[in-house]
Amino acid sequence: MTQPMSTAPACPHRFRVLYARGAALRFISHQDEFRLWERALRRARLPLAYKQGYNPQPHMQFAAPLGVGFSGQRELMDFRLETAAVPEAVQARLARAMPPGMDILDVQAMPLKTPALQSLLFGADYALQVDAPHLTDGPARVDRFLARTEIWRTRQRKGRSYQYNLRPLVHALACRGAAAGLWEFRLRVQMLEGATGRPDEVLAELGLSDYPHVLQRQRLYFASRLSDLETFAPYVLASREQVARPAEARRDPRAAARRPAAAAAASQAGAQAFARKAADEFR
Amino acid sequence: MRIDRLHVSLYLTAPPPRARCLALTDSALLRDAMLKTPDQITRVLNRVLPKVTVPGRYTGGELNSVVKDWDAPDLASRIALAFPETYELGGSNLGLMILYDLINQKPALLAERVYCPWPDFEAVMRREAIPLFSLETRRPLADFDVIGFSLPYEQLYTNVLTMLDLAGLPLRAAARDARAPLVLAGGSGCYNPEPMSPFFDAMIIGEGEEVILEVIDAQRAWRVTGADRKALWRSLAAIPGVYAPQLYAATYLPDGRLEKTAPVDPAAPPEVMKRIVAELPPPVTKFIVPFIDTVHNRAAIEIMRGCTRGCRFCQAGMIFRPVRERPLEEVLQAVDEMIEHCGFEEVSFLSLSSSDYTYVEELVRRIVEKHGHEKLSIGLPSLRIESFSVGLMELLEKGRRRSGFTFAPEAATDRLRDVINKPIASEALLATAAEVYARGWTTIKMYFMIGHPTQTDADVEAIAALAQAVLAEGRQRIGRKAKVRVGVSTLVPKPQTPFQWVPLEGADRIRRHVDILKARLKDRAIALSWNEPQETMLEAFLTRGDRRLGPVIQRAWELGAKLDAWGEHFNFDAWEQAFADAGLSMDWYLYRAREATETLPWDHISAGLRKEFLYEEYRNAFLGGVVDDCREHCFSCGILGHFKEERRAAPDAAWCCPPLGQGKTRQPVDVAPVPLYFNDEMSPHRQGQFPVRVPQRREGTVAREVLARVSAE
Repeated sequence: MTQPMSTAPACPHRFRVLYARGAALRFISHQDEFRLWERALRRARLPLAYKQGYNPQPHMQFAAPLGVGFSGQRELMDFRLETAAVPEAVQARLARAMPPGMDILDVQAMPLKTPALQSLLFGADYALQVDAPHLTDGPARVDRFLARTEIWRTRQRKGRSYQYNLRPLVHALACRGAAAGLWEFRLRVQMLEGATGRPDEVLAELGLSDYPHVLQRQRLYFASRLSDLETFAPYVLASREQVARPAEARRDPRAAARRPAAAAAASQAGAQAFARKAADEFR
Repeated sequence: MRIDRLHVSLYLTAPPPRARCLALTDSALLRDAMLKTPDQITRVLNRVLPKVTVPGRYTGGELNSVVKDWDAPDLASRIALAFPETYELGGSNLGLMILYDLINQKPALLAERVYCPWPDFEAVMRREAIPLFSLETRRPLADFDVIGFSLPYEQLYTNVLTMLDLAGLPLRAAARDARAPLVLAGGSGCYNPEPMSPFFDAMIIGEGEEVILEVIDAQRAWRVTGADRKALWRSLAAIPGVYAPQLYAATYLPDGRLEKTAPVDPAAPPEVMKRIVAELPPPVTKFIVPFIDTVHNRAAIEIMRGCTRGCRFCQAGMIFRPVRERPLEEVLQAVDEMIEHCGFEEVSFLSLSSSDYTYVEELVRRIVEKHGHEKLSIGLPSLRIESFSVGLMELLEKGRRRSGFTFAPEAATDRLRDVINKPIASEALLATAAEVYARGWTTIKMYFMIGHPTQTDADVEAIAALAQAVLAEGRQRIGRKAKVRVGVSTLVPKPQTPFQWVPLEGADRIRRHVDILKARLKDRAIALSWNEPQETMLEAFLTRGDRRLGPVIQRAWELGAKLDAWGEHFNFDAWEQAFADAGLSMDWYLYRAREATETLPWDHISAGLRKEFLYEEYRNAFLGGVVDDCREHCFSCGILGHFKEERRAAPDAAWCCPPLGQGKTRQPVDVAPVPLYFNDEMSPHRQGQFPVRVPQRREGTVAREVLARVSAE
């Protein structure tokens, strides 16, 4: 450590961490990862700031929670400390305190009023490795996937199933061939609220879910970076409404009765308000 | 994959040659068909884990888990520590953590963990021929030299069979060949080892910290000679505290009662005395930090082992004697080390009665001074019902969200609390409740037991009345915010306690008593929870059964009994069927009062307590006689007699038994428990040490006060 942690100012200090969650940790949930960070910061003796309230929660925000089954090469998260600190010192302490499988790549100090990572996120790249020695038609499967315009998938949300169109959420998919029976696919999806492409769903649509596989998020794309915007410039991003099954609301009259248009609109407004609230988190 | 194993005739006689040969071939074939190397296992796991619930249970790799080189040339023995429950439950077990830390500190030894898989993954394992594997290096369980199972309670017995079967090992010790690992058990379940005895080569009675290393050494010495399994049992039986059940035979009287359990081999001692450590070894501070959430996702530091209060129903209070306290400085330092190594947001100080820890006040004060600002929450369970406890809790929870405050009166009338030797006066309880509410807690949790000896309907009705009285105190202080939660369980008479002779309360009576409580506790501010009678029955026949229950356990497991502690898997029909198949009566085990002269299935296992002491206490229960805290007055329970050497080796302050040696006695000693007083309703004409009801004393202060009061009267 080059400089000691200052204890003087009462204003909170925000840091942004670039890190990798290794393959060994791919089976933990986001909630587990949240607790992992809280404990690592305590081991590192970095005084994490907590929100006010009856049951205070730590000031930590993740760009995009990694689900069970995924590793991530370049993930981002923000946290606040109660005291000022030098980013290099924070990085060194954190690196020592992390469990095996978590690597701290970079720590930067951030101005308090930066928008939340989640509100800037719009896309991601994935590498999908599939252990299928007898598979011969990897590229053909990809071609068939890309040739379709609609790929309807069913998912659960709050106990109710709904359908959505996966195809417009996938902006690139390529088969990189196989080495020793290990096929590799590359995938680029958009990640917008209600319109996020999921790699496990793509894998299922390729008919490859049952083979041993490793899902890795390689990078995230943010609206605050010009180069990220340029990468996505050729693509047309689909909105939540565009990927939803248009007839869905009408097909179940009871559901429609339970959720009249006004209520649906209100809940939509609530969702937006929540997103904005998340973006305002550090103001 | 589950093959109905041949019923090899048990324990004493060698199985007929053909049967033995077949049994061996079974398991050998089974293991041949399974995956063998960590690489093979990992390859299959990559494919199957994404589809099972909570895959993080099976991956290992946690912070502070220890991965050693399996093939290191100087490695003497490889030990698998098995907890026969899910990762979420087993990962929180302090006993296993202590042994893991202890064994892995030895350079020549390696310890790895294994838990019971959830049924979805169990099915996948059977389908894919994955053997049960260790979390650290993913080695098949059968590759280890020793497998040590923890048996802390009865509801996990069937999971032991699931795990042995998934490992491809024969379930019964007698059917395992010389190459199979040594299968051990330890934990408080071993104080009646008989029901699980067919499945283990050896069972450790008492505290494992020292004896586990002796057992590992003995296994190694046996392994290199290449002798048969009986030679292993013999060498283990020579170690004090180790029970090798295959070297004993049980005989029965014509009426079905046990005649005796006696050695059939000269190497086996007639009685196995428990092992203890003279002083508590340094606490574990490098806990494994789980990635996924576990039931007690926190650090646990044992501040005291044993309890001096002598509640008659409490097995822990009897078997963990003597009381040994951890020095305060060691506790404080352990907290610092824990934060550095683990970063847990919560630490729990464990003991059977935190209020009785000599330094409890100073501990709380200094912990709050040091860590109060760090968002470290501190658990201090098992406090006594007195205002002193309220003060301690207030210090600990200052400024933080307050959960409920817990009382465990166990019975609702003064009389019944005298019977169980937990004498708290109802008025003292209500005064404490008033203080709890007044200081800002909104919920009081109260734990009661039904089915105590001499209990009447009036005692059950009193539970409802007491809950309502506590709520009334709350309403008076904080109005409608006040809440009460009442938890009612049924007394399971446990081996090695004064209640070991008592029958289990009948299921009809239990149901009727629960109905009384349901009818009387209708207030929305009072929440009532209770145990299902069938779950209590399972616990009762497993804890007090004899050797004949071994085949019953195996049969129930074959019929699908597993994860008995989980409501959704509890399968009582399988147990009833298993009893019927074995030609045994479940009721005979549950509802029969044992006579004083009867040989009990655990009589050849000693917790260091004299049977006369336990029986005196059993009699005192029916007389309403209350005995003192034994820190004040030694009643010769037997511990000091059996562990003189250990007592002399330990510093005076480390034990709460009287120090030995001339001029050292600081408290009166009696050869039998002499009650402080007898309950007026139960024994109006008897008189104890005092003519009136007095509290159990503590460190002489109350005693002096009482003496002064009595002499003034």
